[in-house]
Amino acid sequence: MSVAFGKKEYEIDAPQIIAYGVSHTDEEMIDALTNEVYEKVYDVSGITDLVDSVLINLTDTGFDNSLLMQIFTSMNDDCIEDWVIGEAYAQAYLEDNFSSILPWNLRRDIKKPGSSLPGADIVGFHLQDETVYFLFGEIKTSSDRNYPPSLMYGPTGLTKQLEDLCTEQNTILSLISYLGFRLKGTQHWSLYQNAFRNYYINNFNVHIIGVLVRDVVPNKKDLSAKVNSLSSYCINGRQINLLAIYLPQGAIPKFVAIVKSEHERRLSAKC
Amino acid sequence: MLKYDDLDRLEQHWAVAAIPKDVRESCFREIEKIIVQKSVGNQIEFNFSISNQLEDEIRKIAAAYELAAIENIGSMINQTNTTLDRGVFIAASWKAYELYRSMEIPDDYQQKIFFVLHISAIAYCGERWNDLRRWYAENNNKIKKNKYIPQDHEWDMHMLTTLYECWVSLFTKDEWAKLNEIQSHIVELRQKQSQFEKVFLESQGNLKKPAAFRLLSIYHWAKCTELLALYITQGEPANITTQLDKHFEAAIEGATLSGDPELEVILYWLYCASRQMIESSIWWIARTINSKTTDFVKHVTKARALFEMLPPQKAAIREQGLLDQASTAIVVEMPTSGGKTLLAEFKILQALNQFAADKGWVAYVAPTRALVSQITRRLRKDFGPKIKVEQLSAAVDIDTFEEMMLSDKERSFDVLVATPEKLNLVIRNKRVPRPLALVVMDEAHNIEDDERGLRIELLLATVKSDCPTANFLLLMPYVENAHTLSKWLSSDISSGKAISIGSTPWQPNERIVGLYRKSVINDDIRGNWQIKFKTLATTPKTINFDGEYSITGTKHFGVPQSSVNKTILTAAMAKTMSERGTSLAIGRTINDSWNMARRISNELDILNPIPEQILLVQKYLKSEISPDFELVDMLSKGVGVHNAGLSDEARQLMEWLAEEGVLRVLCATTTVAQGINFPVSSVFMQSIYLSDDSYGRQMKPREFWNLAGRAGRIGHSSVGVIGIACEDDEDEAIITSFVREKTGELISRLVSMINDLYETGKLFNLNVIYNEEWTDFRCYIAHMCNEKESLDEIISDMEQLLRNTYGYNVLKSTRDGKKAKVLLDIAKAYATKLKGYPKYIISMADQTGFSPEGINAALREVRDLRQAITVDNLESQSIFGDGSELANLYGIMLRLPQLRQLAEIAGSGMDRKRIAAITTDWVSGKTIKEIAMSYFTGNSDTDKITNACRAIYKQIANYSTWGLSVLTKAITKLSGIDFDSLPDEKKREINSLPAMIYHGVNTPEAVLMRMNAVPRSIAHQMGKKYAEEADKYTVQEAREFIKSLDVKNWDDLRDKKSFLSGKDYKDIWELLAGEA
Repeated sequence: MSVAFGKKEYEIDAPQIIAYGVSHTDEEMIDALTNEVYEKVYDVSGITDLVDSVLINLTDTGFDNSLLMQIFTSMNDDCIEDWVIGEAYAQAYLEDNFSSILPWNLRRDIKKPGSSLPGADIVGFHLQDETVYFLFGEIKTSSDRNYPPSLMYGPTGLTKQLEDLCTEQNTILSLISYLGFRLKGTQHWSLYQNAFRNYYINNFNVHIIGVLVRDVVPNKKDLSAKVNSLSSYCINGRQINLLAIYLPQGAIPKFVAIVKSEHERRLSAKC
Repeated sequence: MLKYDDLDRLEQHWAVAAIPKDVRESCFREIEKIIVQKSVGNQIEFNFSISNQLEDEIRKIAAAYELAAIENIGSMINQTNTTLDRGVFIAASWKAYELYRSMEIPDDYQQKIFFVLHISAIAYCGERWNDLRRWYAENNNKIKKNKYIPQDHEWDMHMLTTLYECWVSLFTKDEWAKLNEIQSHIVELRQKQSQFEKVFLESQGNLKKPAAFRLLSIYHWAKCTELLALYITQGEPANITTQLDKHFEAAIEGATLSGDPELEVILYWLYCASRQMIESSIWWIARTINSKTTDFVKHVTKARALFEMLPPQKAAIREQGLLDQASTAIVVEMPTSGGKTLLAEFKILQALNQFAADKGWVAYVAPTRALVSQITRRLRKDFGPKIKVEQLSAAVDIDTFEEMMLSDKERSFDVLVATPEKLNLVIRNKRVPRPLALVVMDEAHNIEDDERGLRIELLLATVKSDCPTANFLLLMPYVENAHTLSKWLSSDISSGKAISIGSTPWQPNERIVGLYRKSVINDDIRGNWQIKFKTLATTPKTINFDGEYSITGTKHFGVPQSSVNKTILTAAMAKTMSERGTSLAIGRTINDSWNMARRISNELDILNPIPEQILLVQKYLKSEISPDFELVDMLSKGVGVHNAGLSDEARQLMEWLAEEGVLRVLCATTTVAQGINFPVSSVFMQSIYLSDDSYGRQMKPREFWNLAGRAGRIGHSSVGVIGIACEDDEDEAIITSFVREKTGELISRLVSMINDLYETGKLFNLNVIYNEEWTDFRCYIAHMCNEKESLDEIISDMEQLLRNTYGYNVLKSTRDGKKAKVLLDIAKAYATKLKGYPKYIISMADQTGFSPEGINAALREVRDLRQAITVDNLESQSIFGDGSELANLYGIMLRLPQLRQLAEIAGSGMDRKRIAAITTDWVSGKTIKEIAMSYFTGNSDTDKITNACRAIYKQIANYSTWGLSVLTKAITKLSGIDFDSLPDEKKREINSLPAMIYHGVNTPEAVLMRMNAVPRSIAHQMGKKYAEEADKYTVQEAREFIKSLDVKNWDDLRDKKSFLSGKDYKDIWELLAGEA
């Protein structure tokens, strides 16, 4: 199974920027939410083991562990919100339709309190013309009826975040370092090495991507307004990609229910 | 330990190789500029501009090096993983640190925390903890300022700020107390948990779970911190690595689950750094040696805040087999400040442990009287009361008290610190009835010294032949053939070991070397000039970038450009650079050192306040030399002087002040190289020619680097600056090529002497042995003859005996064995000649260190004395009385070739009577000033004092004592009296005479006080008091007596006119005796 490419709704003709919108049918969306997206949201592949191993020795630290244990043993899915699922949706879509590899899971990259590392929602690789590039990007999930949605603007808006990824060399280096830290010794290491070499030949050999997850009628205006301003960052070969994924209208508020019901279905199937 | 090979492999690493080589190299060159500019930029106008682009470039290159480390980071945690390259990990961390350290510390508190922890951990992983301490010292304000005060709901920040401070203490390790406090900081956090944790979690809304993981991670981290601090201070728990593995792994996983990559990464780095910290901690390194070592470690961690070893020290013990019992001879080659003494201490403890059942002892040989005292102080301080450390005076005579101590069959001492000449007497005469376990030879490169080198080599050869159980440890800087030396001293081919850091990039500190010269400024100011500093490329590892830069300031000291000379240039450099820490200005002559000090102090303000250490030394100088001695006022301005025209004690106190960091400038001569290693920020040399040699010999590169190596202080200061004064272009060419010269191999004096014969066509002239430079060789052969029953036995064993020398081995190993054969023939011919001497002459030669010919001459002279001196005259009242005995004895001494240096006083117009009068005044307690004014000439009081000090401390203390020792033995011999049958008191009196001269006092009790470092001005009175209570009259008993005196006792005993109070005296004594 893989997330469907969907129907290409529009493409914006802009120099150096690849920008287009695709739409999913109800069926395509449910398919994605109950499979690839579900897997990402619930991180089935091993988070439980990790939790167990850190809890074992907590008493030996000399700190009182009662409150923490209460939190760890309750509210397993308290963090699952629409935007979390939206991010997972976008990531799953890129992996299946954008020649991308995003090596680790969403849950472990949740923006946490206190961290000073400017993060990125998308951290991985983009394969293009037999060349590997680091891929960094941001995702916004929005039901806003305006085109473009308000999440595109402001200091935490998508445009600004993408501009920062183009200009903040430190952020990119921190991300590359961290990626290296996590991927050493894994199957992705040779990809990493190739992307690394590519980046070190030219700082601009990094692909940047912005993804909008929408549940409104597809409209070119979502992306076209920002294409021009972002074009100025496409220098020395830097590539910026903009993608809008349009889901059936009113779908986003149903995300949590769909994913949770899939979770329950799987749990009862196990029993 | 990191090797150049590792660095080479690193450069091939795919991540590093992704950056073109020239880009990398140019970046590192730029970094050096940044580092030097940061450190010295206020004094040397480098004016390098640092672009933002460079900062980005550095960050990018650093990330590539860091990635090479990250790829191999597992090698640090799991050492059984052979697929990873630990060498590359360390090398990459080494390089990454080099780059990161040039970057600015972020202002934002949280960013700063992570930046500082990151760079510190990388420095540790790259074995650069000494560099890191320097970085901390340089950035102290920024690292500690803007302390963040977290609010109640920021429980994670409460903990982060505390942990940050704890780790800063762990990384700097400057105080035992601070490390000890870490445990209470963690306990405090635990106590605060109930107050803040709930509030924090409730403030997190839907992110409660990641926040909880974050706390979990930090709790584990706190536990790691507590465990590490406990281990560093107390060596517990023994299973520290297992404990840390458990908690760090949980902390890292907690960070992962909390979704905080930055915390995750920093914890991983800290995990590795803590491994490195444990592995280099003194506890870890010493954990399996023996119980003596454990006691020692307990003592030094607390007393000296010595928690970890420098990388070469660690490597010497853990990797290079310093404590390998099968290695009988080890040569440690390390630069100045490399930490050789600590290695010697470990080796000493091992040797004592190994020979505990037989009460074995260790000889520690230091080249000068000052170093003997300093080493004694250091060993006593480090070993504590369980290991008994005693020193012998530098007089070439074993006085009665030393004799008692040496001959004691019990453990009257464990370690004996002595000069080579003195140890020679001890060994040749078998004075210690216990086995010699180890000989530590400090500054062993002196083996090539023209004057004393042969004596040192032959001392080692004697130990080799006379003390079969003895092992050897030679400590020396900058020697390329350390391995050959170890082979020579080892008992068999496989038991010699050389420990060297030649194959590693490690260095104790960073240095920049350059020459400075006058540059005329043509402006409105008449005679204006400035100094230009030109950086030079050198052979040892120093920072190197081309260029000529201005030194701040113009027309220094108001001197017009036409009058500028190298002394003024050097003084100006030292003064200007003293703003960044103590400068050492080295003049060519004693006069130059004083002139520099005068110029500098004239322009400086009096320190406000004057540090108490300086006040104490000032009072000492006023009491012991003169109240108006000009050094006293100079010290008020932070200017010290160190030259052969000062007493040993005064020099020791100057070194102490430099060590304490309270001097702005120390103006010295090259004799300072023979003193202790007190690190300074900068070293400036007026010349690369030595003054003591009348022909002005150029320094050997090894001598230069031994001096220059003091610039830059481990853990305390930044880049060390080394400068050489330059006159003109010709001078510049000489200096430029001089600093590029290799230090080269150590060459035996025997080899160079034979080579000299070869070059002058005298190779087959067997009579050369009677030349003065061969005296020590003759003494060696005489000693060998004294040891053997018959001449035949000597002749047949001669080759074997010569094989104990380094020189003969070297000559023998050359393809043309001709020179070795010549040496053998010379030795055999001389041994045959000795057959004609009465046995007692050879025996007396051994007892005194004189050559047989010297003994012969002495006996002849005593016999020929018109006015006979008998044993009855050999008492202090007679010798130092009004009669002519001492003058007559001086008359003889002045004619003995081995005492020719005495003639240096006589050569300055002194006759034997005047020397006798000086000696008598000295012994009777006259001050230096009084003696200087009565007997010496000079342009100033300082000149007179200088001349008096040189005469007393160099010629009289060394040669009169030696001469008197020989002559008293000759007189006793000629009297036909059996010395041993004399009453004890008489024997003590006779045997104390040379010591009285040496110490400048006239009673045996006062000698005992002086042997224990009591200042001369109170020694007599204190000796009297001791005599009232004395039981055994031993050095140890005397020391216990002195220790028992309180401030009031000292006050009662002092001369009431003295500038030193009772407390001052006690403080000075504690300093000089190492009892502080």
